[in-house]
Amino acid sequence: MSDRNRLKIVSVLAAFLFIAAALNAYYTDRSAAEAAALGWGSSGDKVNEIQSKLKQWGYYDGPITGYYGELTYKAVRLFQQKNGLKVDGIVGPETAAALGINLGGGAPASSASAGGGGNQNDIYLLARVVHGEARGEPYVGKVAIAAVVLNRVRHPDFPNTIAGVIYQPGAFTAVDDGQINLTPDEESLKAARDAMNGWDPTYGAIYYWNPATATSKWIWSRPIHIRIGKHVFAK
Amino acid sequence: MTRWALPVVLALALVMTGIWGYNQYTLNRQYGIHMDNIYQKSFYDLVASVGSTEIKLSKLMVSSDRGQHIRLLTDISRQADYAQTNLSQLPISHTAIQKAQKYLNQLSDYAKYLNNKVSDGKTITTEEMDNLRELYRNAVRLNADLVRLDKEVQSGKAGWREIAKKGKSTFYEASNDLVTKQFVEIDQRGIEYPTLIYDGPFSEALKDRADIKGTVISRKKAEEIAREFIGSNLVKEIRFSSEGSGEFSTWGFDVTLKNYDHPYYIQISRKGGKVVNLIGQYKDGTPRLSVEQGKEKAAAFLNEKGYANMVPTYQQKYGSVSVINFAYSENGIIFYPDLIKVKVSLEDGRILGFEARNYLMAHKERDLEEPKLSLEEARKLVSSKLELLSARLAVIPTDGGNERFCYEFKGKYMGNLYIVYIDAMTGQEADILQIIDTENGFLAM
Repeated sequence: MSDRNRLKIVSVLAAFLFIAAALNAYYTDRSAAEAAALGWGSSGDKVNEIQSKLKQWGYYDGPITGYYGELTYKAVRLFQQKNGLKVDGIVGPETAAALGINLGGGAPASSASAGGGGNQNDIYLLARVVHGEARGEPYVGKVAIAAVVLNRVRHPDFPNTIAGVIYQPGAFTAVDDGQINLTPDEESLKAARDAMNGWDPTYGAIYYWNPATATSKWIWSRPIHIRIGKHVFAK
Repeated sequence: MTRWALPVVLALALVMTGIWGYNQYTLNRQYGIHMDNIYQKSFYDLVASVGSTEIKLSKLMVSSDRGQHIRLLTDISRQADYAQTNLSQLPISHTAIQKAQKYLNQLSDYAKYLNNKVSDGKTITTEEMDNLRELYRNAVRLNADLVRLDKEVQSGKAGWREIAKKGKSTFYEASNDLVTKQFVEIDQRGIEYPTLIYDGPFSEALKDRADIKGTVISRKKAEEIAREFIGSNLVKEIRFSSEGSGEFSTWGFDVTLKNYDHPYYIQISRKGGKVVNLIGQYKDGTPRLSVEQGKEKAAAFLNEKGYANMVPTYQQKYGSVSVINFAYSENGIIFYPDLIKVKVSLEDGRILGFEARNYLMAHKERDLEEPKLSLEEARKLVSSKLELLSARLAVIPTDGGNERFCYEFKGKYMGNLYIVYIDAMTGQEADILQIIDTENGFLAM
């Protein structure tokens, strides 16, 4: 083997190592950063707000869709460029501040005015589960997920507090994979509040699953109450 | 130059990878040990508190002193609660611990119920003693099984970490590790207890609540009812969504409206054809109506839908919507079990939600006896510290799904609003509520 070849191998190896290390660092930090930043693929009221601000100031001329797509991405980059911010197309804390938008890491501005129908923290925690478990589901489907959590609290086979039910090991995928720590959107908060106020489209269901992905045989032995969106609800 | 540069770069890269890998390994190990310790603690606390409930239950069997009963029952419910909390934190499949969990929850609940009874001056009946004996037998069995499992965990035959790794997928299905197997065994042979019917939230009595009465209606008829309820002139399209069963059977529909972008969802009971609930999606806007106007809209809506004699009891406001609770009222008596909630938009007065499950299950012709106490007599039983604002007769729901006929007194103490319920028959203080007065919640006086 010539020195030249060896050098090639070494540089390739070194490059791999660096990439591996960089990826590792990136993935460790990502989950933390994600909670307080909006980028391509995000959606919700905050994106609405970003789009209307950008439109107002002439950076964006697309429709206000609440979805962070290519047009929004380009507009954000333009805004960042013009305002001396880091040009990455992501609305992080600095860009948000420049836009005059509160991303609200732990306590969103919107929940400050929630009130009533139960404890503030409980509603927020419930909304986080809904956000993690039922994104993309119809609104009723979100209310239903929140209702299942509350039905479990009232059921003798389960823990007696909202936190106890949500953090029971293995109970919710969104808790296991950390998605519960994302900032819930406006609709999840509304759904959580509705469920707290007694709306329960599942009539006391304590289990739900997605028939397309559920692998457990046991779960199919439960009497099914209703199907809402992608989920099946059962006792 | 290249001759030595190459091995050096290689070696350096290797060393760096080594250091990085070792760091990852130690970190991982630390996390693992930390988790293990948390599970270990939960398990030991579980063993200790189940042991403690067993002893307290055995003492209770032989004690005849009221004070002692109260002390023991308080301890039993507290220890059982604690055991239940710890059990639910173990990374074991839900199916494996389901029965043990239910046992602990009901034991705690039953002890609370007996405690209330004894505190009210009543005695434990022989039937209740029999139930306690059965619960005690279960405690002994559960305790023995846990002690055996404890030994196996101690001797290293079973570890929590391995179970936790699998834990994610085992919520519904019991896996094959030793600990889970033991719990499955405990579940299968251990716990058999009497059907406990009493006045508490986990009472078996709550299971068989009556369905709505009435004749069964067809899907077509249900669709008509839904259309009528929302307003035929407002409905653009109505689409069958799903049948529902459970507490009662329903027909569910997705509804789109004219001049409104968001869908509604409505459920109609198959028996009797009643609207059970309506859930409307909405976007927050600028409120144009006052809370008072919202309440009037909601009341008018209920009246129009044929729910007469409904009076507002509580109102909440968030953003541009308001949720108003209504209860049935007759002859000046308010019936809280007959509850309907209406959600109204303060932007345009649109009805965004309706929830009548409680009303449909509870509402009936009631045959109330004359109260044994007069209003004056009951008023004297309320603490004199409370500055009274209003008083009336009320029927309130109890934890176990029953009802209690009371005098309701609203009053103020140290700036806080309280509602005190005095049993109209016995004069006992049935309940005290403190109204947490937020800027968003209003109590109708």
